Formats: sequence, structure tokens, C-alpha cells
Amino acid sequence: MNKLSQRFTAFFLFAISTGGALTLFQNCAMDPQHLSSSQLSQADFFDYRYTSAPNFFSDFTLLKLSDTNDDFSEFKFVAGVTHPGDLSTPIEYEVRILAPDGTAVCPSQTGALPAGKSSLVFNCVNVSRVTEVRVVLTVSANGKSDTLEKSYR
Amino acid sequence: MMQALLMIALLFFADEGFAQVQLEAKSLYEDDARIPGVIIPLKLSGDILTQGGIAFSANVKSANGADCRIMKDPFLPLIYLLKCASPSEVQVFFKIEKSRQLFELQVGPIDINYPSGTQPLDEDRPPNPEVLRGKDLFSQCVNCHKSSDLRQRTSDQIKNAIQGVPDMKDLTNLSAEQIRLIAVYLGTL
Repeated sequence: MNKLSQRFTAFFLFAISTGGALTLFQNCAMDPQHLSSSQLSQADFFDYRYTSAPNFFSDFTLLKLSDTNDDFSEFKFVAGVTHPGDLSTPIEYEVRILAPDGTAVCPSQTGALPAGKSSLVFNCVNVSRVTEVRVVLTVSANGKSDTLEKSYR
Repeated sequence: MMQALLMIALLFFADEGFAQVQLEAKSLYEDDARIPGVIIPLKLSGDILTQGGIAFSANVKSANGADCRIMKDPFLPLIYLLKCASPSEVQVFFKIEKSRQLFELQVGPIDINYPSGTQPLDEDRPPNPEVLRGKDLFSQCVNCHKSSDLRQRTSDQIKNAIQGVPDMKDLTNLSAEQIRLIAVYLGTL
């Protein structure tokens, strides 16, 4: 009977300590579902579009100029364009701002950003009211190119 | 243009007393390209990183609670990407570990705002479905044409070609709408 009591006590202590340890570390395990949704959320926010080391970083936005005539469309295009490493090479660019039917909302802008310059800003004016536009930015240097397209309304 | 941001590093948890190192986090974009919605690359540099230090975390704090986030570039170890959904002034905190010592680099404040006199438009990143349909329709043309050779062709030009070029007679069944969609696609090239 004494032996049985000792065994029961040992088992009881074992169960308590194991349960305590499991409770203590219950949140330490990786939760793949949580990680996945977190990473997806991050990817959605950044809309990271490169599938290998990028040759360029380029991103832009199109803004509406405030206080303009409703019969006209006036936009400001602002872009950041750079190499991740070599900042000394000029980058050629082309920006096209297009209506949904593919016609140009304003003349396309082409040129080269000199070394050390990483922003591209210009205004786009159309004498008609444009409610939806597509903007296509193409950058190239050293035989490599990258195109980014966004739509605005 | 103030391109470089800040380069102050403070030491935490030093095993052998307090130490100070120099690190730099530089925005690769100039001031006027730091606007909401634009992904801003930040590049870390400094002796500690070339001597085995590893940047292992970065956090961003927005002064007005705007949704601002930072992520490490998956392919370039010293590049971090910063983005704010709306105007804000932010500070970025990097943590760098070297030889079991933890260093923190504080960058900012960085002002992320729209240029004066402008307001944002609604952005729609997914490709225009008309472009996709136009591209699909253009597959009937690829036996004879490269899309890049027909860049910016208008609907009228395509229609005239179909009516005037004998080899294109097979395409007379294309509707005006389908021709328009092809022109939309060619306009994106």
C-alpha cells in the first residue's frame, strides 16, 4: 500500500510538472497560419513586386492638383528611381499617362536621371476632364529595364 | 536636398562596458519622392555591418498613428523598405547584432507628405482588365507581328490595316470593340 501511494504521488507530481511546463511554453511554438497571414498582410501593404534582387527601385504616385478647373485635368507625377547599389549610373526613364482607351492624357516624358538624382516630378495637364488614367513608368540602365504600371481614378 | 538621414548608434547590452559605433541609414530617394503610398528604400551602411554585424529587426513609429510599416528587402540584406499609407512624420529604429552585442540605430524624423497643392487619387494596382483582354485578342496577330512593332497603334489604324492588307482578311470577323481592346493593349507597350 505504501509503494502504491509512492507511485501515485510520483505520478501526480510528474503530471503536475509536465502540465506546468506545457502551459508555460504553450505560446512558444511557431504558428504557421499566423505567420502566413502576417506575411501576406505585409506583402499586400507593400505590394512587393520583385521576384529576384531588383536592378532598380522605382515607385511613383499620381496626385491631383488642388483648386483646378473641373473642366481640366491637372496631375502631378512624382517618382523615386534609383539603383540599389551603384548610384553613379544615369537611369533612363519614360513615363506615359494614358486614358483607359490607350490615348495619351499628356505627352510622354522621357529622359535620363543624372547620377545622384533620384526623384522625377512633373505636371500633366489635359484640357478635357479625365476621370481614369493609367500610368506606365519604364526605367532602364546597363541593358536592364523595369516597368511599373498603376491605375488611378 | 537632405538625402542622408541620421547616423547615430547607441549601444545596448554591451558585455564590456559602454561603446559607441557609427552606422548610417540613408534614404535612396530624395525628399520630394518621400510621399505616402511610395515605397522608400533605406540603405544601411557602416563598419559594423562589414565586420559581421547583422541587422535583424526594424520598427517604425509614426507621430500621428498613421499606418507606416517597414520591411527588409528579401533579396538585398542592407536594404529596408519604408511605406506610409497617409502623411506622417516617422522614426525608424534598427537593431544590429554583432558578437552578441546589440546596437540600435535611430533614424528620423522623416517627413512623409504630399507636395503642397496636391491631393491623392484612388489608386488601383491590378492590371486593367481591358488590357488583359486586348492582349489575349492580340494573340491572333503574333504570327505576323511583334507587339512592340505596333506600339501605340490606334483602333482606326488597326481597322484600316485589316480592311486594306490582304493577309489580314482572316481578321475581318473582329468586332469594333475587339479592335478597340487590341488598341488599348498596344497603348500600354
